[in-house]
Amino acid sequence: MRRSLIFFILFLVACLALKAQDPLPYKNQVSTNLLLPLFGSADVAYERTLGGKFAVGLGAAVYGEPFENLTIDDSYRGGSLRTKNEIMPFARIYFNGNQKKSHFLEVLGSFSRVDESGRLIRSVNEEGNGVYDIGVRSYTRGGLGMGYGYRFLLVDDKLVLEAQLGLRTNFDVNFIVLNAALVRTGIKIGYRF
Amino acid sequence: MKKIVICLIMGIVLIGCYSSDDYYDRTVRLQVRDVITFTNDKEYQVGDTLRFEVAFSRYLNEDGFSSPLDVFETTGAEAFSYGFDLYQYSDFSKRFEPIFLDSELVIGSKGEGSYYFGNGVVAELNETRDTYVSEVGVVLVESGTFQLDFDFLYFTSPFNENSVIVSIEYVRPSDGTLDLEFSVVE
Repeated sequence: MRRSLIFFILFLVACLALKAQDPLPYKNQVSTNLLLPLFGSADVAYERTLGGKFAVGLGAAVYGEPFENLTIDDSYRGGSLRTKNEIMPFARIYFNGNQKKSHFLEVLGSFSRVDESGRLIRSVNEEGNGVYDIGVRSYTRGGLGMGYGYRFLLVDDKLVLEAQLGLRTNFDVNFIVLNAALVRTGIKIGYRF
Repeated sequence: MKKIVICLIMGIVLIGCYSSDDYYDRTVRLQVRDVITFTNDKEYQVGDTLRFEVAFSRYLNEDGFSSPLDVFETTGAEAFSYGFDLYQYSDFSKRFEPIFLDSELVIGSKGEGSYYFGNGVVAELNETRDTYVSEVGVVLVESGTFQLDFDFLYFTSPFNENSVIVSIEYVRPSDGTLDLEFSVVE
């Protein structure tokens, strides 16, 4: 019994020692984009630091109509596209690790809900025959993107301020430049815990 | 690190090049068979009129759907335009050469501004408004060996930027039942 108690105390001491040596006291981060509200949109992101330089996270965004001004994929197949919302898992590498200033590179995935107008929509009329109309079709599409940014850690590393430029394409396009959209772009503020 | 960045950029570009290529420009494409009736007398006199008829329902089957497509309600088209070809055998080239017919020699309804290949006519919705029909005649003014040609024949609804277009491809029977070669003598 005494031996077990000693082992338990040693284990606690070891854990506390590791905690004290942990160079990353804050491994979790939530942030939001300060610029998106100017375009009738909003986003939130959660990020988990994995080590000295790497982090993974999940972002979600809801886009208003003004956000279309930031996209160049709004004309497509003779119709128009409007991305309504989007979920973006991402991974980052911070080139300066956990220092107060670091630039970073981000790779992101994208699952976006899109309204595409000008599409052929087939319905069945009262007589049981098919009829096509031109209308709006909603669907989910996937994509990949990249981003580059710079991060500042403030107020005992609890407050995050970062600037990022991100570009995302989708799997329905012919070429990345023709159907790209700016995502996760702007000035972000976050809290680490 | 530079290699990693270059690989990431190349990877995304390559994935961006993947394309479903399902561009369709608001056109519904269908196929029909057995819609042309041509009674070939094989030998005609100069001055005779060659005749053939086209008739297809406004309700057409569409691949992938159990309900037939109402092409009239879809397009509002009172007529579908199409074109046919006539070839004449040439001893010079030892093959059939295309003939572009003077419109006065073609008897039948002709659409204006329609999209078709060859000699253009239209199939109009009949009085009962359930079938598009076209009765075409060609006045034979020259002797020789000829051949009607219905390959690459598409019945097309009028183009309108704001409406659906239906393009119906005619699929010629592969068993040779549609004999299109004939001769004209003085």
